[in-house]
Amino acid sequence: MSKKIKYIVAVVLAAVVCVAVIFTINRKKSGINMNVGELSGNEQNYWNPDIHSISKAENGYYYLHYDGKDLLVKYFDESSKSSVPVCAKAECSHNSKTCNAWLDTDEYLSSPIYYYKNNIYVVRVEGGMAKLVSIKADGSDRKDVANLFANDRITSISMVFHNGYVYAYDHIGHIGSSESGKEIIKKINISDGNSQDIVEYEGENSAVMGARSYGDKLFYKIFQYSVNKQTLKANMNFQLYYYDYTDGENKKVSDMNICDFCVDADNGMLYYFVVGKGLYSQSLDGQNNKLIYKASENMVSAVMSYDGRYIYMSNGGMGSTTDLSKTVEREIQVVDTTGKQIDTIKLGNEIENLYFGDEKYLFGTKSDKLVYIDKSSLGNGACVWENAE
Amino acid sequence: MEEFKRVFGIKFIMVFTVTVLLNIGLFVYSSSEGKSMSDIRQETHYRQWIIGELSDMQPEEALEIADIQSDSVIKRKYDELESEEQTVYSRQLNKIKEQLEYIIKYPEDIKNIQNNADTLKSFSIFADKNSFTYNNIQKTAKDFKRVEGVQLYLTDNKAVSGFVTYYYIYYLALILNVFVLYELFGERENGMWCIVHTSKSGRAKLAFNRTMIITASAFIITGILFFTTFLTSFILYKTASINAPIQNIESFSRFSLPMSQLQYIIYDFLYSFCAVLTLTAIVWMAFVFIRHRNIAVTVIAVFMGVEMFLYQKIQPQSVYGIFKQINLIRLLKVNDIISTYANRGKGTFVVSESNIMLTVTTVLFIAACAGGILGTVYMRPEQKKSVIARIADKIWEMYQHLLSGYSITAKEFHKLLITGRGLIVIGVLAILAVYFVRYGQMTFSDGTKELDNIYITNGGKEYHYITDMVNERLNDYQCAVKDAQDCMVRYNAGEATLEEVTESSSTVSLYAVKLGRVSEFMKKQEYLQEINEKYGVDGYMISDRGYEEIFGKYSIIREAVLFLALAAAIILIVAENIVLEYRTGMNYIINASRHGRCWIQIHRALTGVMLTIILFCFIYGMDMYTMYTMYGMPYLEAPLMSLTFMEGCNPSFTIGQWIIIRLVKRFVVILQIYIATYVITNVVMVVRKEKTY
Repeated sequence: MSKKIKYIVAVVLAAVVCVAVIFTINRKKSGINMNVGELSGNEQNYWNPDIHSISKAENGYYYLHYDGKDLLVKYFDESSKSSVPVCAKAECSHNSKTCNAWLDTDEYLSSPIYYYKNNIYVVRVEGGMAKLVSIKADGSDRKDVANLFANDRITSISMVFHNGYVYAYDHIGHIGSSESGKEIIKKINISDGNSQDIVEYEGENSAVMGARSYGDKLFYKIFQYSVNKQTLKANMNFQLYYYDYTDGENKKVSDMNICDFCVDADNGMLYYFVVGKGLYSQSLDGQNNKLIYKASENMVSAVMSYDGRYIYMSNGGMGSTTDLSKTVEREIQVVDTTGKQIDTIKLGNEIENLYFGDEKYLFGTKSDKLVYIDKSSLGNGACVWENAE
Repeated sequence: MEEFKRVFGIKFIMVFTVTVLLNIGLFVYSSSEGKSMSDIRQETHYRQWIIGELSDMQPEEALEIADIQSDSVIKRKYDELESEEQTVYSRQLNKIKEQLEYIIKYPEDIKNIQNNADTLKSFSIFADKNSFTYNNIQKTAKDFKRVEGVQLYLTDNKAVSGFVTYYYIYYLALILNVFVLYELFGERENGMWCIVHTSKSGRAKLAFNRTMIITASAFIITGILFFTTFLTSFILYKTASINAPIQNIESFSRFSLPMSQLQYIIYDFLYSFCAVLTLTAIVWMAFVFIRHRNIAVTVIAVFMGVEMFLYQKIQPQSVYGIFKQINLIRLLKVNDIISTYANRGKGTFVVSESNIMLTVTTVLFIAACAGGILGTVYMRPEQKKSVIARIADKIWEMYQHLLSGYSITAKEFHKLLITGRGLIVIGVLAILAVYFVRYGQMTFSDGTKELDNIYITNGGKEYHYITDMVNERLNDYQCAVKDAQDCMVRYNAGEATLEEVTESSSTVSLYAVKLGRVSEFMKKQEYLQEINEKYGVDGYMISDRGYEEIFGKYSIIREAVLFLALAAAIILIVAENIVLEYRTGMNYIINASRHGRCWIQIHRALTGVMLTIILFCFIYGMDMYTMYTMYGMPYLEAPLMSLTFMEGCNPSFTIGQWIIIRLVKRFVVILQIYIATYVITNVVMVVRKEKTY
């Protein structure tokens, strides 16, 4: 073979090898692409998705308040920092069905509540069927919007609102059932009540949990457990998925045991907490996966929230099951997006429900009353729970 | 004047007198709340004695004195009484204390409404100045300013408070007015319509006279019923505080006009008169346009039924709330409308419900009168027959010829169903039945369906599987708790990892959930043991759910509607069948039958019984079949007391027997209704016929 031909062959071979290498590198790089696009602005994905008794409105927050006798829709006004039942009748005592804010506890569930496009949404149960009810922002004009699914009057319904649709699921699912069941997320058109199932998962002892909407994707977890009766060991597993609104596809994000997550759409980042391991960050295109906050004695698993500035991790999940010996205190760790600790908020035994919150306030309940922390006080170690009522 | 005499004759006076007495009886019965007259007198005596002692004091001072524990004239009176009298005395005293607390709080309450109004306007959700909400708040504050100066004081309000919450007056007044109209339209059935239609003074004048009669009738009937009831209350409770502010009565705490109780009673009467007059005018219009009186009454009854249904089903805050507010049933609850503070409107237009009622009743009255007058003037007794009607007549003639060859029983059925339009009634009954058998259908979750499956496959008389399952889960949970506790001890000693502790704790949570899922079986087991010990019943492990829908507390509305609809259908069909013969004069021909009158009567009665049986089987057959398909009927052989909501029933009944007994009871009652209708209608028609002669 002449020198010239050998040279050509070598160049071609080199080119082929380069292409192969580049191709391989690109294949490794591609992974799963979770880019969410732009947020719609009314997703309110900072709340605790499965304990959703509060929702943000234009100048305040709507919430459900049950004092053991009366269930009321109330409004916490940002400017006056006070609450009022959502009933504009000055002469009303707010304890009967003529009151606009009063919900009959024989019908209405004490959770959830949502605010979306000038309407408040709550759930009532009639004849075993849960129904989505819309109420005008001033408390007037209630009407049934759609049937959801069968419910035994348990506050197990969670919802996400997006682009004129409601995505509803039961976050208790078939946990504790001895039969295999189908876990679904239902997509319901708010204007005409028509529905279709967009997520169907079949399995034993499963449930859909923690759904949050970011841009063009609905992220959710599938919880599953099994128990070894001989060793009495439970194997509990969370798997993170997303549903793409544009093409209707469901994809698994990771095989890791992810107890909660949040997305920073502005910076294209996904933050997720792996049970027993800690908080990870990863770009939405699947790259740069790293552990930014290690799990600790106090934080084996976490329920999370992200308000656009800080990440909040509450050990009110599995970590608190160590409450058996009261050695682990309930708390929220506040970290920034690099995992650097900003503050620790003690919950103690007083804060019953933790709702999280937006960039301004963190909400919870204490002695059945709504309380909040002003987030401007974070970082000083001097966060105080104020009464909202 | 002749019209007036025709309608308000001896018959009307007798009926009216009976109604007034019935009304008084109903009022006394509803006010007494099961107590005897001597109990009421005793209560009144103690109440008025206590008020007499306390009325001259300031309310705060009176409240301190009104205590059996304090050393006061109140206590000394209490000590003088026998034990049973003491109970009555202290009950009255407690009510007076509540009244005093209300009187003390009232001025502050009214001030709070003003303050609330100011506070509400500051909230962004209520602050839109162009919204109904904002303007309603403004109006509320302004309206309650009118009663800021009202001074309440302790009086005996019982006579007035008992009277204003009594509603039967309006229903009886309406029924009497319908009776008056029914008599007024006797011309439609006795052949006089043609003569009345050619009235020499003109039909318009006749229609106008009738409007005056209706107005006078509504005024007299409502007025007499209203004021006789008030007088009864006055006599029953010995006095009435008619000069005291109406707000003295706690249920009027949100009444925003400063009025005495007497002024309120007159105000109430005027509104009641408007409501009854308007409804009477609407019924008059219905009678004018519907050619047959009985059909008019049926249409009115159906319409009232629909109004009642809408009133029950619609929530006050619903977007369809207007059908609850502007509703004939609500219109008759006059005191509810005028005593409750409520506004309606849109944008900056806000108006009170009482004003809406006045406006609506006025408009409806004018429209109904206009309709009634126009109908009286222009409707002809006879209708011109169209070509289709003439063809139908020919076909009918041929049909009648065919029918003549059939048996007497077939002819009776024909009369019931076709000549008497019984098929229309049965059609309405069928539609009601189809709707109401599925009324309140329950949807069961996967969890409850799973439990019901276990009941069916492993429940019943021998339910060891369920017992074992419950015990197993209980045992698992207890073992998990112990294991978690042991793990924690080892963790504290540094012998276990945090991960192991978390796992064991999670196992406890999960087993707790699994145990929770079978808590219903645990409760049922306890119940079965209890009935075994108490009643000696060997109950079955079965689900209550389906049977609660079939004959438990969730079945009440469905069963009531089906029963009443069937009873109404039987009454209408049977009564019309008999009246038809007399109206057409066929009774003479039938009574001249060669087989004898008894033979005809027997056939007619038996045909009626057969129709009753067929309708009963149709309605309740459909009901039972629907219940069976929706909920199943497992373990019919189980003792009835196996169902927790049937505890204390006859221990020898099974579920299947109970279902049959209930059906038999209903059948017997329906049969009795049929017999009563048949006998009463026959007697009435015979008496009428004899009067004519």
